[in-house]
Amino acid sequence: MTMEEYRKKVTFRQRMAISMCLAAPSSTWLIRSLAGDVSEYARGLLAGVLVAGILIGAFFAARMTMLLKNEDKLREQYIKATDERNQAIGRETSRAACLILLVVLYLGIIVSAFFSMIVSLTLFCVLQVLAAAVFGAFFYYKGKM
Amino acid sequence: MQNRIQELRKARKVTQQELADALRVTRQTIISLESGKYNASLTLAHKAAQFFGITIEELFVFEGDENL
Repeated sequence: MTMEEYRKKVTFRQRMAISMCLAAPSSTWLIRSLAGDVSEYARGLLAGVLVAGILIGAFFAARMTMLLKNEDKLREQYIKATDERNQAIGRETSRAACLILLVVLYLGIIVSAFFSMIVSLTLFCVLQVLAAAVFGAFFYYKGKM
Repeated sequence: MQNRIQELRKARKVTQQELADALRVTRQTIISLESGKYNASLTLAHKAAQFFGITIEELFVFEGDENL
């Protein structure tokens, strides 16, 4: 990835963050009007999603704008993003996290089966989806490399 | 795999940051390369060899199973 490509990526991220900020209130209003009279819990959850959406969007929009205005910072971030050691760390982290998640889910299925069948089956479904994602990604990259 | 990055860098009075800037990596990567914690990719090895004006074989020491 060249510096120019990275700049375009940052500009895209900035636009996405601004869109997220703007879309959060309107999408929440839309969901509320479509769902009609909802419970107190659902209203609270929706408000949480709205506030989180705006805050995360604003944070990233400010960060990306700052990067685009400061060439030195942008170059620093570009080097961090393209640094091969950082990328190797990211790959190893994903691999280890995925393995840990699979083991924890597997143990969770067994342990939760003694207490709740619903929880156990839910975890089993999550494990199936994760396994499908792992196999899908494996065959995708096998064909690509 | 061992390397002579630190030795050559010090001989040429180049700082870790200067080398990192030239190779377009972070200073932490240079530190890891010098301490032998991280092995460079072929691309980075090529860039480092170019920077010092030597071949990859002269910069990196391949031992045991790393050779034919």
